[in-house]
Amino acid sequence: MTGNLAAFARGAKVIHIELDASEVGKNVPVAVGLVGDARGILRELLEALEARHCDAWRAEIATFVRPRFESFKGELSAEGILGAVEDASHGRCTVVSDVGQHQMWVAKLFRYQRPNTHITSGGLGTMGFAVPAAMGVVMARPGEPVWAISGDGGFQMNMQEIATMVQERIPVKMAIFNNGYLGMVRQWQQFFHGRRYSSTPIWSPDYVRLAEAYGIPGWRVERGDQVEAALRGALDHDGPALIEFLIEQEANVFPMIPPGASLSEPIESEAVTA
Amino acid sequence: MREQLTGSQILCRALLEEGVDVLFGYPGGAIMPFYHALPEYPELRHVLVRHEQAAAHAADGYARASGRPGVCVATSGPGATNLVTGIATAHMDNTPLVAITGQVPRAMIGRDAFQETDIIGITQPITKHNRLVEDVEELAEAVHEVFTVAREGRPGPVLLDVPKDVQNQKLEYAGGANGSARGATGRREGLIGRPTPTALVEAARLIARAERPLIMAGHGVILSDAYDELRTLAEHTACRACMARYTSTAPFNRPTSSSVSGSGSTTG
Repeated sequence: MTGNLAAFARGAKVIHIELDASEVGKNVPVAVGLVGDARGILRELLEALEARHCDAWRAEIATFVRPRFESFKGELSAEGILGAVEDASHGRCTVVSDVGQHQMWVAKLFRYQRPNTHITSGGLGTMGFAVPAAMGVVMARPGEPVWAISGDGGFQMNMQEIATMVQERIPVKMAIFNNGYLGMVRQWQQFFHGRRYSSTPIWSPDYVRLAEAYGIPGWRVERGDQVEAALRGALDHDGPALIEFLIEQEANVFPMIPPGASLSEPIESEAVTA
Repeated sequence: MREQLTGSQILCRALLEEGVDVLFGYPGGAIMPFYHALPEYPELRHVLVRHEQAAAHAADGYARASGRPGVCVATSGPGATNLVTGIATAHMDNTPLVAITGQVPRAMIGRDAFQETDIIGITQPITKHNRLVEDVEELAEAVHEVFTVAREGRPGPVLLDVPKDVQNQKLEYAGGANGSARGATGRREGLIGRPTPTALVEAARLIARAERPLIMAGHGVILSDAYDELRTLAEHTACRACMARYTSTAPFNRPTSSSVSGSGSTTG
């Protein structure tokens, strides 16, 4: 949650609900540790509590709302693409994201309708996770669209699994957010390393022809007006399909927390470093 | 008369007793007896990946989406080490993952045999439990043990290392004698702790008096299938709920839920 434990919620009284007793208070001191199953504990708390309002707190939270400054210079915004994915799937799909900027866009911007419909490597942060993990999700949720959303870096780590999808008839729908960079590291280089883009520009093959080589349909989307048709085509195809989105090369994810900083010190726009 | 089965056949049967219907894997020398037996059990669908890392991630994805243990299979040495990133991924996110690896024959262990590696040692810090099967007599029990460990309490990955000669050993097998045969999610309530009554009272008191109540909901809500309870409590107590990390625990547009906090932006 934070890069600076000492500055984390200093005035808070923390109630920690936790299955594993050894985790209670491991990182943040707690006022009360409740060890057990979250569902059962939430039910017991509900029984013990009167309904209440917190209008002042609600009003205070409303003042925290700020406009986002994510700079999508082209027509293709992550928000637009993810909204179109949700619309095209009528809200019934599972999104498996890889690791990097697109992962944070998926976490923040995808309009989840059901729990446990975003599957990602949140702890270890394993690039290359999305494409193979999506195959497993398809096996567990047959008949539901499953999207593997990757960047151009993570996709190239396990793109050999397209062959598995073809041989085993596993209809993963693959979306690549291609910005020609290892974007998350590039963003850090922009803000904390004086724009020294050391080893972050990354070449990609022609993904449409790659799809063709595996015998699956592929689309390259460069403009906003191409998004819907490509998504429709991928979903209508009875099998794996691939869409490459050529997104703004130097788009950033905001807010970002600098390394070692607390949640109250976010960088919220490009202007901060200008 | 009881049937004489090979270790590989017993392994397949034990997997079926655990409710397994799909395996993600890649064959190789030390796991060949298992792959020899596999076609006799068509209820076990095998998905042939192109790299063992993908087998581990696919089994992880299957487990996260279904709530049941995902199973991956690899041979010894490089097959086993290629699973490591996937096992570590499952370990960090508490996914019930069962990895089955072939191992060189028992007499060859420790002799730098072809494709030998100490996968038990390598995966010790990234598994909840791992086990080298030393004799066919213990194989079925070992399978049921690792599945039980993987899914019960705080879930996590386990690894079962099966030497090639154990896969070929024969045994009269009654079937299911030691089987947990629970199949489904099956977390045993008894193994999960319960909060003390005084702690619950104190927690309720803190929530009732809080001026700025905030819930930070994490992956545990998914593991314990507590979405409805979370939403109800947030609405009831006017707590604002926000989702930690990448947890899709609540529908996006609810007034009681807000954005993702922390995200990966703290750690990149």
